[in-house]
Amino acid sequence: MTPGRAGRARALLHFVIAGALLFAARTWWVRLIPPAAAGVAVSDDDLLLEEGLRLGLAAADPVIVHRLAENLRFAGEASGSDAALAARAVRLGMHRIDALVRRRLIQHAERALERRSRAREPGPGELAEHLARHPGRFAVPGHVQVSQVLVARRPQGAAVARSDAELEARATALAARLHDSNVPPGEAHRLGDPLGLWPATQVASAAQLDAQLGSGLGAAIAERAPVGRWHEPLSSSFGLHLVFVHRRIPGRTPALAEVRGRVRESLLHDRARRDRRAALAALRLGPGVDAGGTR
Amino acid sequence: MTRALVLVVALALSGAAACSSVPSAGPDAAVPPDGGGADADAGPDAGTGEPRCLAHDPLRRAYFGDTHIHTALSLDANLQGTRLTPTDAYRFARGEAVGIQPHDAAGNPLRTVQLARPLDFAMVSDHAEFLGTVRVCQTPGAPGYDDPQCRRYRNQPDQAFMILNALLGQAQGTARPPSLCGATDQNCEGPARSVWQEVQDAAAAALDATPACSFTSFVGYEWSGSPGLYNLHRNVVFAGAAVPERPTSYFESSTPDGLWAALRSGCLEAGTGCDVLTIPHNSNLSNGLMFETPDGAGAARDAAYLAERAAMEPLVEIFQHKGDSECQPGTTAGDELCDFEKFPFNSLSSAAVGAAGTADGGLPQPTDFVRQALGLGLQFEKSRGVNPYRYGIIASTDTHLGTPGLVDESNYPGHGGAGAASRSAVPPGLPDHVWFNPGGLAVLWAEQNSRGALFAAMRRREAYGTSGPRILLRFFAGTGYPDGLCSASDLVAKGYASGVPMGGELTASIDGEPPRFVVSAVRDAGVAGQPGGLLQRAQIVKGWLDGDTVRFAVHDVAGGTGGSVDLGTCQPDGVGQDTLCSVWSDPAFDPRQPAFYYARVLEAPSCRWTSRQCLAAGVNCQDPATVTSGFEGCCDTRFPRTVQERAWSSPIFVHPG
Repeated sequence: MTPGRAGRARALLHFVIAGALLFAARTWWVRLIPPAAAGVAVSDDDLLLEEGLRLGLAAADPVIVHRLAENLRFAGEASGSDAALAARAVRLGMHRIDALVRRRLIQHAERALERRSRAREPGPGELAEHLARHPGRFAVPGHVQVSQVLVARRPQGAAVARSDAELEARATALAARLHDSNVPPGEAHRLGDPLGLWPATQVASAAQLDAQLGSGLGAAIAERAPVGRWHEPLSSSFGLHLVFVHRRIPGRTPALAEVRGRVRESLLHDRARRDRRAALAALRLGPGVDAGGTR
Repeated sequence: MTRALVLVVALALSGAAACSSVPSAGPDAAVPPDGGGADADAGPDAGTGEPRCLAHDPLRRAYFGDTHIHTALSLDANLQGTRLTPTDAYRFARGEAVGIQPHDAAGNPLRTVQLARPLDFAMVSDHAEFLGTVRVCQTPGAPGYDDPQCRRYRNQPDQAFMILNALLGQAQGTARPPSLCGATDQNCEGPARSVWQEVQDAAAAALDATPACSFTSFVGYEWSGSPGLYNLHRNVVFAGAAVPERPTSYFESSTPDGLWAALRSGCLEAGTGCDVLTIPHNSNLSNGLMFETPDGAGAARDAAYLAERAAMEPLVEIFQHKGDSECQPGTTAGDELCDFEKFPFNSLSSAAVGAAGTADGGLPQPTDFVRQALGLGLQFEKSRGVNPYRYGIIASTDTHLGTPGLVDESNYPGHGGAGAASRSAVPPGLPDHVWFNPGGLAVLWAEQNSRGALFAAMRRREAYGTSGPRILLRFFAGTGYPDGLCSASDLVAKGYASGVPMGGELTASIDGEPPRFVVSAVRDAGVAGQPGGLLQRAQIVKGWLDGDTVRFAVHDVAGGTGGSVDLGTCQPDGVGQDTLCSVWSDPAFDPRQPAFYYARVLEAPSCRWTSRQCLAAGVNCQDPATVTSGFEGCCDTRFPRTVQERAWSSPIFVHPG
């Protein structure tokens, strides 16, 4: 059964009236509870929304102005320019309800805060201080010069993989031979299975060794293996590795000149986050409190 | 020191043994000066003059990266809800977790991604076209902000995506920027310069210039010409911080040679120390435009064009999330492995039509593929004296989420771009159209992880691509390689000393010893608890000129055909190898025929990304009730349920003596 014309008009009227009532009720409720009222949990977004409004960002965005004006027109207010209707809509709190306006206003406020935060170029002192405070972010990691001998789980061309027991037996025998012989560590790989494309001796960080051999071995070699003697076999998915650490090159904090670009970006990133938090905290204290960035 | 001396002597002696096939011309195929790789305290890098990295190896190491990355600065990515900036993309490449779209009402990303292993290098390659458009349309009060195109960008992003991207399909010579930029691009030029500076700043901030050399960034962009919506795209890679004042887009130079001319004047001849190369990609979507034939459109090209193409384009991107461009199934006898991640359309527009399920798009043709182009290059060289397609090979992702190197099949979130958008919500079911894939990686053999060393590797084509896994692959050709070289500890040193590496060139001697080829590979090491896939086989692909006809052959040279995966669990059966190696001679070698050879190394079959996600969702194609909305692709029989991940070396080119 299809509703007749009168039925459709009645349904539309009900829809409009119900919508208008809901809108009025929501507006009344929102106005009763200001976003920064003491004791009421206010989200960061609510604060940014109001800050965006205070900064005049709603009036500056034609999309927001047009959308708010259209909303009011839909609710029956037909007279006035877009700007005037939008201002009236804001007074009614409509910017808090319309999802698109709300999102745009919040984003405008976030961008305004970030722009303010990034506007001031950090000085050399600030950069040096940032580097000193976060040495781990910019550290040159330690490296080792290491030689290795491989007992392969699947030797090149072999049809069947070696069992764990066979691997261990071979590695134990090889380790004994390495301890007892005078084979230079850099040449010892000839006693094991072919290393394929891995270098017999290399300088590498823990991360680089991990990338080569699989996670876990890097730190064991770069940080814990003894210097100047063969380490007991270390296991990877490729088999067992006997390693000889020739020397360790300690990690260090680089000079500012070496990492200036990275330090600057890191400082600006941190500052933007800090300023955002400070601005929101200031906004929670109420209107009139400076929500500007940290100096 | 003593060891280095011994090696130098050894290399000199073994070099003297090389005779008949003479390494030549390969831009820098010289033997590395020493073979130690252990002396980190020596002076600057000999090749580039850059400060020496702690991990410096004259025999070169493999560095894994991604040179095809779009961020929120690319209009198409931006319209799909991507908010990550170039700075964020580099953070991700270095191993940090980032949030990606969709975002909730408060702006929080609803998905988080992180690489299990950081990349060694990356280049953000946002589209040069529309670089200022996003900024104009986002800045109230900016000239152009109120233009209908900007309004559409803000209010109807799906329409804007189609309409603005269609501008890239304007015919060559008639391409114009969007009207919002004004008649002379005046509205967009300033913002574009500002965005270009942002791209440079992000790369500078990401570069690790300490001796740790943990990460290298490159400044670059994508030139996105698509006349008739057929793909002519190129990524532009700058060697260092010296770059032109602004990128050259399709709207300024609507032909590839126009782009090269702009790069020559704005970079190579600008007196600023600028160096640059371009990398074409997605020839599979070019409908014959990417690689002209000597008797087709290429016949009209003069020698200067062909030479300029050869000079500016040492590499081609063979694989990315919009499919594989190696070879068309059926064009090489017996090469069923060509049938890998084929994009079933010949243009982005037909893909869009296909995506809507309303029509079958046009299919690619044989000349849309790299193997065919390598053969065409031999024909050009014979008929015109220049080979414009002497390409080395890389792969990348073409992510439009700002997430370089996100190639894991098991957690593929889609890459946006031409694929499915997740602007407002992750689509139900599979996160991307079934014909997309997670993309691949670019690998460069370089002395160290620095801009100079990596760029030099690109120039000399000592590069390869993978479909995602971090397979190690070496490929040499030369003379005097003994049968037992695979077991030798100095395989690499001998490889350089008696021949050329991938990307190099040899001149064959009519009466001399034919060249031998060494292919050696190590499987992806994987991460803790998740080792990489085992290798199945290594192949050598040959292309040669027989008279005026190009012929191809594929030879299995190591491994076998075993290995399978249980589709009910996605667990492999464990058959395969950790390493593969072979010293191979071409039984049909003819020193009078120009030829190229490249290596292809395959993993054992594993579950494709679709199979993994369909399995996790409980889809059973025999039971329609389990094929819920968005999972229809799980049961699309046009697409296989397994893949054989792989690596493609750059070719070695053999010239007649």
